[in-house]
This record gives sequence, C-alpha cells and structure tokens, in this order.
Amino acid sequence: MASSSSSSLSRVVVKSSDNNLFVVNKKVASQSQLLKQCIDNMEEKGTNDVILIPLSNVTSNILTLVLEYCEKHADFADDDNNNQELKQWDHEFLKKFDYATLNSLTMAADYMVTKSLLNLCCQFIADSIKDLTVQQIRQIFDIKNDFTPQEEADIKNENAWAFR
Amino acid sequence: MNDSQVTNLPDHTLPQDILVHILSLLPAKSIGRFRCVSKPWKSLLSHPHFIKTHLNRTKQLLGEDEASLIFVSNDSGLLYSTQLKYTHHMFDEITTFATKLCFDNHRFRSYHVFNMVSCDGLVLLNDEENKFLLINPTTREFKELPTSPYALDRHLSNTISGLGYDSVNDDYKVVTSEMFVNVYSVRNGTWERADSSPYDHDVGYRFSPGTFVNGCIHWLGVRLSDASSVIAALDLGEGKFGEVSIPSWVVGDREFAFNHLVELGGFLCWYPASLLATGNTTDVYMMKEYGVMDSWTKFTISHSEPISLRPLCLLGKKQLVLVENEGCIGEKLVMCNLSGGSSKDIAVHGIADDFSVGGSFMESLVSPHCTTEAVTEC
Repeated sequence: MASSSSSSLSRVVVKSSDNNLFVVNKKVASQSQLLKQCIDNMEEKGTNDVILIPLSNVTSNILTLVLEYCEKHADFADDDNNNQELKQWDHEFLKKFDYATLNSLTMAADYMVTKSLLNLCCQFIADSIKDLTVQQIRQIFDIKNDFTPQEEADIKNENAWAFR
Repeated sequence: MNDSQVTNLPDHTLPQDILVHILSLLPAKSIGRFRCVSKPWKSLLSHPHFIKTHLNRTKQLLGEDEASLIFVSNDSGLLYSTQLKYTHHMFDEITTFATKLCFDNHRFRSYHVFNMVSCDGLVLLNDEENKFLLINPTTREFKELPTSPYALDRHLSNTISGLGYDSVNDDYKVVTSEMFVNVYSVRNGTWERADSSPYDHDVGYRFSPGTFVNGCIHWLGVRLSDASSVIAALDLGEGKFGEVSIPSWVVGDREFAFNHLVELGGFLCWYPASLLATGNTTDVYMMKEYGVMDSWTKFTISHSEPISLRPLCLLGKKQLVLVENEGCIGEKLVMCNLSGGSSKDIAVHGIADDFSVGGSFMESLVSPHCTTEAVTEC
C-alpha cells in the first residue's frame, strides 16, 4: 500500500466483516457519511498514511454493492438530484436483488450513513410489498400470526376498508 | 443486529426503526391491511405516533402528486370518493372509479359536499339533518360532533366555518361563527368560545367556509371598525384574529365579495365567483409566500367559451382539477394543464350519473376521534 504524498488523503482502505480489503478513492468513500467522518478525522490529525477503516457489520458481498452505488453516485455528485439517468440506474441496480439482499443492503446503508441509498432501499421495499396479502407479508418478514381466529376476524373487520 | 429475542429470526431481519421507515412509506390502504399481520404490527400501525409519521411522509413525498375527491350521489344521498394521481396522461379523457362510502344512516345533499372542508385527510361536512360529521373517507371512521353549548341559533351555529390543524396544541379544530366564534377541539371533544371576531365573515354572495393555510383559517370579511374589505384570518394556535394583505391589482375592479378563496397545493388562492363568467379565460391568483404581498402570482385558465369554474386541487404543481359549469347543463370535471394550457375531461365511473362534486382531501390514517396519548377506539 503506497502512502499519499500530500497531506490530504486520496484513497482509503475499507475492511469488511469477513476481512476482505477494498481500496476506495476519497470521492467515492465520501458518499458514506461514516467513511467521510473517518477521513475528516484523520486529515485533521495530519495523517499521511493510507487509513484502514474496519466495518464490523458489513460482509464483503454487501460492501461491494454499497461501493458500486457510491461509485455511480460520486460520478453524478455535481449534478442535481433529479438526474433521470441516475434514477434509472438506481432502479435497475435494486431490481436485481432478492429480499434478503435488499434487507442487508438497507442495513448496511443505515450503518454506513449513506442516506440516499437508505431512502432508495426503503422506498423500493415499500413499493414491492404494498400490494402483498397479509399471508405474504408474514412469510417475507417471517412473522408468526399470534391472533386467535376470533381476534383475527375482529381486526380484519375493523380494517375492512383496506381489503376492498 | 438484534438476534437475542425470538428464535428462528433470519439474520436479515430489519431493525425496528428501518421497518417503521419502510412502513411509513406505504399507502394508507396497505397499512390498514398489514394491521392484521400480527399483534405487534397491529399496535405499531395503529399508534398515533406512527399515524403522524405516516401523515408527514405522505405530505412530503406524495402531497403534490395525489389527491382524492368527494362526491355525493343525488339519488341515494351517499358519499363516494376517488383518487387522482399526477401522471402524463396519453389520452384525451381521464377515467377514474368512485368508491361508495357508508357512514351508518347519514345522508347528504349536494350543498353539503359543496361546503365541505378538509385537513390532513379529515373531512368535515353537514348531513341532511344539519349535524356535523367529521369523517376520514380513507379509513371510514367518523364522528358526529355535539352541538356547541354556546350556540345561539341552531341552524347558524351548525354552519361550518373551517377545519384546521393547531400545531401549538397538536389538535384538529372545527370553527363555526355566528355572533361569536366557537371552536371545537377534536383532541378534547369540547367546544369553546373564541374571542369575538373584529370581522363580519359572511360577506360572499354565497356562503363558503374558511380556507385553512399556514395554521390559519381565512375568510373574505369586512372589518367591523371601518367597513373595509379584507381577508380575515384566525390563527388556530394563538386563537387570535388577523388579516392577510392582498394587492389591489389582484382584487381589480370587481366587488371584493364576488371572489372566493381556495387552498391549492398548500397556497392561499383567490379566484372570481362564477356568476361573473364572461370571457374565455379565468385568472386565479396564488400567494406563493405566505403573508408576502409581492408573492401573489397570476395563472390563467383558458376555455373555449365563457364558463364558470371552481378549482378543487393541484396535482404535481401544474395540473389543476376543477369543476366547470357547476349545477348547469354541461357540468364536468376537468384536469387543466397550467403550463401547456390543454385540458382533459375526467370521467367518473362507479357512481350513478346524477352526482355532485365536493372538495378534495388527502388519504391519511388520522382519526376523527379524540386522540390522547393512548390509542382509543371510541
């Protein structure tokens, strides 16, 4: 690993929970407020070494995805937020994943404080579950039906407006 | 990650705060359905705090792109609603389906829905027995309000003057005015008499209820001290009366009282009363920054012949939904594109032909019942 010659860092190394290393350039890393904060702190101290940021909560396959998102969004960082091409890319990006991956990605975005990715994932999950039945929701979220048959009939009756 | 409690939770289970975030993005109807998933989901999705979070997210994300309308069937006296969304419509006509709403045995007449007011998904209107009904057309919850103990005249005091949200006390308030102004608190379920108004509120050529914008209910009024025409405002949080200035170029030569106020896209707007329909255009004025005289902006609606119109709501900032020729032959619901000038008819299905259009509301889970801290099911 080469150390940077100037006092400001150009790259950082991020370590996943399963101990894989990712070299990330600063502009890309700055999409995550968590990584940006680490970089800012180190720069304030005047460190010239490449810094290593361990992320104990994110596995390498999920980290790869977060970084892919950050890289794309770093390219558009100077554009306004309403870029249609970027919106299209976001949608195509999330469309590929199964529910478990989406959940992990959402949690990683939350942990790494990548707010735009977190909002994007939440909206995507909301859009994909909004038309599901009660039974399908129980399956996807692995929730046990703890109503008695009478209680379930009552609550369905109370919310009959939502089943029409 | 929280894997300590329940067995069998997969390691991709979302933490509660993210789950709440996702669920607050759902349409009201999905939330009603998902209350039946389990007991924890039921209590989460019925909690007043969640309902407020959901309301704020809806306003923030969809407030401008979705709106619903109330109709009354003139045959059955029953209410109907339909939801409109902002879209790039390809066809000349927009089709929408109305859903029947039942509120026990209450029946309504066209002038009841005409004078309805709404705020955050709640709708206030009178039924044919002149009782006050506060309804949520989305969840079908409703509450019949008691008559004010301060009422001097039963008919007058049951005339709606406004509905709005008081952010100081986190409360929805119903306002009526006769000689005195009476205010009903939805949170407490009680009436109170407000300070007497320094304005006469009943000056229009046809009575219309107040318009709620920016925490205040607005009326066209006459200042009692010097008989000058003003937009009078009651601040629901402070309980105080004030005025909103309107430039003379907006008022024009027309008699002040021959105009109406309406809320469009969260802004206070001013438009001419329909009996004055003469030209092929109608000018609507919008106060883009509340209380700022210079921010009044004109937009012009073109039509092929002199017609009357009543604006209902704004979708996606540039599509205005309005009723043309109300109460006359050729009455229709129209979506008018403000930037392009083109307009399209809205065909309403699912309701018998003889119906009247009320006003607009947003879909929400807000309850018309008194909501103190605990979830009450009155």
